[in-house]
Amino acid sequence: MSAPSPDVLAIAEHRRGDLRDVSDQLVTAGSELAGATGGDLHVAVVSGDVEAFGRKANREGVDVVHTVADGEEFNHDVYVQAVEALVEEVDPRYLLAPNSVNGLDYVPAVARRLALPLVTDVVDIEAEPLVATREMYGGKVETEIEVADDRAVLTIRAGEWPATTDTGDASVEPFELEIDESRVGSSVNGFEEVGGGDVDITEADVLVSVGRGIDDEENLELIHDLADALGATVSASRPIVDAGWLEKGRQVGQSGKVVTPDVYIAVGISGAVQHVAGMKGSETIVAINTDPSAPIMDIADYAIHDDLFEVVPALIEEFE
Amino acid sequence: MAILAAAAGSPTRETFRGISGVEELLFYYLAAVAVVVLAYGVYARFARYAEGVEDPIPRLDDLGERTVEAARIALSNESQFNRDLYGGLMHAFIMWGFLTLLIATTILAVDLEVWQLLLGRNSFWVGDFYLGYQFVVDAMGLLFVVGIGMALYRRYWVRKDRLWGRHTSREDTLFVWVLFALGVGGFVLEGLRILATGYPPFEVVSFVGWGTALAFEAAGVTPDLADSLHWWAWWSHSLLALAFVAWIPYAKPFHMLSSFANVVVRDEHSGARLPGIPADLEATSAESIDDFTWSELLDQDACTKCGRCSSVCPAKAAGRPLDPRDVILDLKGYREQRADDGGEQPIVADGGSSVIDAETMESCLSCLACVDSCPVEIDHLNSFTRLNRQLVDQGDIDPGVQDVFQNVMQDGNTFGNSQRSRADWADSLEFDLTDAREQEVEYLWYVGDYPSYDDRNRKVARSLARIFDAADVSVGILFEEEKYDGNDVRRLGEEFLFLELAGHHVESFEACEFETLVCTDPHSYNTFENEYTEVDFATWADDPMMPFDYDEQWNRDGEIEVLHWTQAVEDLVSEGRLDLAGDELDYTVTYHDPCHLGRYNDEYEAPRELIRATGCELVEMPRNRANSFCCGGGGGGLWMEFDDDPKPSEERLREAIEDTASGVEKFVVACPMCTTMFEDGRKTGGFEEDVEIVDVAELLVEAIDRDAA
Amino acid sequence: MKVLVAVTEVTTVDDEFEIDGLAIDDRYLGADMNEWDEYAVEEAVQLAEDGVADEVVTATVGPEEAEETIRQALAKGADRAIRVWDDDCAAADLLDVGAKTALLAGVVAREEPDLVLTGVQSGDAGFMATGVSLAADVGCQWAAVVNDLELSPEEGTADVRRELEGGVEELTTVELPAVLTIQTGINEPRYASLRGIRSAQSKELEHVTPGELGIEPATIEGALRLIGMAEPDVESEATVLEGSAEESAAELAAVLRERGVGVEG
Repeated sequence: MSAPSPDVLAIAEHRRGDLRDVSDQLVTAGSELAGATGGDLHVAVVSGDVEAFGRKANREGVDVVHTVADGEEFNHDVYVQAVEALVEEVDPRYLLAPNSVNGLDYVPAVARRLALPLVTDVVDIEAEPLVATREMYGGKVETEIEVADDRAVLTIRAGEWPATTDTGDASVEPFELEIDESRVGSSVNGFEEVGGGDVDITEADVLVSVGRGIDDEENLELIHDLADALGATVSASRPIVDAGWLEKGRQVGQSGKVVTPDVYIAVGISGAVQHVAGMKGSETIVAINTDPSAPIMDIADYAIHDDLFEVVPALIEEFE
Repeated sequence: MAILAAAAGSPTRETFRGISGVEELLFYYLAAVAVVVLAYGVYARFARYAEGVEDPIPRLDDLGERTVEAARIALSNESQFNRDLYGGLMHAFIMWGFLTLLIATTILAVDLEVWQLLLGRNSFWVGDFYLGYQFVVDAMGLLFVVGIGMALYRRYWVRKDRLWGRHTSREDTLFVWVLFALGVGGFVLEGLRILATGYPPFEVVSFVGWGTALAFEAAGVTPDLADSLHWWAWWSHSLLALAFVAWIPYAKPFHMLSSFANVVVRDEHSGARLPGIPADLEATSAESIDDFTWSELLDQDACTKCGRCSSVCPAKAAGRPLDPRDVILDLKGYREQRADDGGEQPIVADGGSSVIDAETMESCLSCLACVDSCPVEIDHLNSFTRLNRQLVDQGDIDPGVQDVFQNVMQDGNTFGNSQRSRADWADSLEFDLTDAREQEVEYLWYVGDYPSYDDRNRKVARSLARIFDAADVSVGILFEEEKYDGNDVRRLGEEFLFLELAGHHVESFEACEFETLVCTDPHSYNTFENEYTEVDFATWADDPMMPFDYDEQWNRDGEIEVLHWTQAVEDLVSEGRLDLAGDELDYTVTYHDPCHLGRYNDEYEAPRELIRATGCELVEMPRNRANSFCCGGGGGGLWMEFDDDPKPSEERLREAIEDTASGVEKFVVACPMCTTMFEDGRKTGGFEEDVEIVDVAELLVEAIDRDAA
Repeated sequence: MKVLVAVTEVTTVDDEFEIDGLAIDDRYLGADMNEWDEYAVEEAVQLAEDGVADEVVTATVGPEEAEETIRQALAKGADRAIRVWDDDCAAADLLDVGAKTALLAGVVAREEPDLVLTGVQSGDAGFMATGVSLAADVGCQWAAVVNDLELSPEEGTADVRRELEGGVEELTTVELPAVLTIQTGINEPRYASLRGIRSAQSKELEHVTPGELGIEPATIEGALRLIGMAEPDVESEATVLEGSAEESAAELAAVLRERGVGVEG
């Protein structure tokens, strides 16, 4: 294969009519990378309302937006064909995509089909030569990976790059593509909001976790409000789940899920051994509990020794 | 024949009074039928036990001695009196009354059938013997009726909770009422006879019958009427008695035999020493009811549904789905139903399709309260362990416990921490601990998982280290060679993991020079003392996966003394090596007996002596010593989460605060698991203001420091 | 139906550890079956128990020591196992997605399974890509991050739920054969008892080399080079936020914003 262009191609992500936030972060990472290679930043939107998405993806630093109109929602077979064709067209040095559930459903296939080296879940990038930083062992270490190739496919972790929100002046170019239907072997039949029932709290960056201190099911409203204000996911310790106040899927602990969010806010949780086992790996732990000697305080980074019914409303206020 | 004696004027009476010769023959025929039905039933029951798997624990050795001891236990009713005076009296009255009536009837039969009929002698049931006989029978019969009355009162008026369970059925009703009818019926019969025969003066010794006669008379029964009623009474009493005899092996009355047999074959170390498993990898634990040993089957039949086990079970008290009685009876019910219709069901599984649900077994805390409270020596824990082993074989294991098993397998400890950091707790000591692998010591100290890794318990370990140091004892530890002791994983059914750990440790112990093995944790103490010594490692010598090279039976001769640390330090204190005056502290404290030290190993006094040696005032909780109430940490309870209400630890702390002499400042424990559970319960139950949790070792160190200051 | 489960043994690291050059010091390392693969194994074994799968075969890229983990899968009910490894694999400092894909594709070519299950990711390297990459390589269908699976062998399809972010599940139908990457929580993995592991000694565990599968050493070497390893910033002791409820809430809000919480994105 001849040397690629210095360009960067980033594939935006959308779901159910909305361009996802990570796409703006992708633009930031992409323009940094394009700045280093001296190439252009191409952003592609595939399927859905590509016109609207195209306009929205036109952020500062983006040179070209490619729109591929085919179907509504993400379909990995369509994405694989579209991205393959775009790579052929743009011939980028680096292909970028979000390290999301959907990103991981087509990017590895593209990389394999095009025989490109793949580095996933990247949290930092240095270009020329390309060195990607990514975690290993569940975040215990950070590794630097050099790619011994003049091309690479990278998926970036959400939340690691700031979002680019200023509108840019890219040209929006429809990319004509005939999808080979014989190569489409999957179909998306619909979506289901699992109402938290099967929310994967292990994937959340911020968890507001509630324990026995909440006293009553009615008081849970307060916790949901806090989570909404913070853009967080609600989790709980065992007693809350056992009481049937929250779904089993939200339980943190030895018998629930082991979580390692960036921020874990323990509200009214004393921190029994079994609970701590499930959340001690969180990056920042905040404990709100009247009891200064609660075991949760031993592992907390920030602690408020006060009544949750006073602190939580005040905290919601702060974010509204 | 009896008529002759009566004619002679010596006090006696007619056994078959008013009964014709044909009727008498009919009676003998029915009696023979009853005895045959009884014999067949008893035979069938015991034949079923004989089909059971051999029991790994010797239970039939020294049968003579066992029988004498069982007779002592049964006749004294000591187990029935335990924690229940009313129940003890009730059962003693019924049992002694019943036995007396049984013996009396037997004497009568011997007189009639052997003495007179076979040997052609004159009846000995006359004169003074007759009078004494009548008096004793009336007195004990009265006691019998009183006992039954107490039983009826408790069952139907008080409706005592533990008597009513899922398995309470018609047989329980029938049993108690039949006994009542037999007892009362005897007196009715006697009264009618005395009335009909015109109150023979000597019959005043039959004082209850005499009184009954007077009562009948007062109620307007004439001697003639009494005479004709006597026939009806005689037959109904006899038929009921014969029906009862025939019924014995088919329902609850069988406990008279099965429970006694169960006491004969009892294991004194039940629960503290679990049975091993066969080396055959194909062997199953509880895939079918046929996997159960004869003793476990007998256990099921020995159960009288008294519910004592359920009433003391901490898991049940916390609202968990465990009722020890129901487990035993569910197994029995399934066995009988399968024998009837051949329907097969898994014995234990997750999901409700099995005889016993996995969650029921997960609930058990292995505290041994059920075993201790059982008046008929049912080894609940042996059956439970069998079920747990089956769950392990099936892989139906609580995720939290799976993690613990994995941690022990991969790291050697339940925490999943590095073995390298096992002795880190000792870093902050002002002196170095001896490495027992390199230097001969008097005491080899097995520190244990929680004291090694859990912050709260590390303080206890350091306190104990300071005590040993203050007493200038030669003591050493195994550092990273010490692994988890295996006691609780064994109770959870992962026998191979236990064996691996036991093999590892005995190999380590053998490589060290020491006299006494001292443990911080009663769980370790229990398994080292009672279980490691029972494993014949030669059985596993060919197993390539066993990570040890040891093929003997460890410490068979008891050359190495195994102690809980309170026992060792009690010796030091009594030798004056800790230099305590006995007035250092003045707290009012209560002491919680850990299951594995108390009920498991009968050590109640050593920790109490140590507490008193500090000057503390020790007040007892209502449930102390053998009646102690588990903290909730045993049997893997520490590794699982339950929706307890209240948690066992909370209930126990409540007892210490509310039900104990006021002013308990410190709740003293002697087990790391207890420390962990009670520190937790103190917070979740809201007892932080009320009481502090301290280990005996911490109390001792405080006293030592007080002296130093 | 034949099910192949790709099972990996992951390296685990103690809470406290030291980095020695480009690796963590051996003393702090352990090994375990990859958590996500445990769910994949369970799913396969349940398919076998339900009579849907006739045979469950595991495939592992790993050294001889990984056989302990493989035995766990066999103990849980897999019928036989294949382990791929040679000195070239051992020499690679990082077996990248491409290398693993090639090795597993070699096994798939030999076994021709109707369904391949594997975990969403490995707990150590965590590339989260091998499954989908494998599907692309062997030219079959796939679905990533599956938390519910219904097979319709007659129709030759699998109905899956894919666990998307934010509490949304995608209902998707894929054609068989397919590779599915299995998310935790899809089932409750059973425990592999030590008795079971011992009994599993008698099950077939075949070792093949990449050469036997026709894989070139250059493929194994791949294009990724590990050039640095460092510990991320460590946690500090708890900072107590003092003052009234309002004051401490305000302080906490500042702390949270610093960490990007609640910042409009």
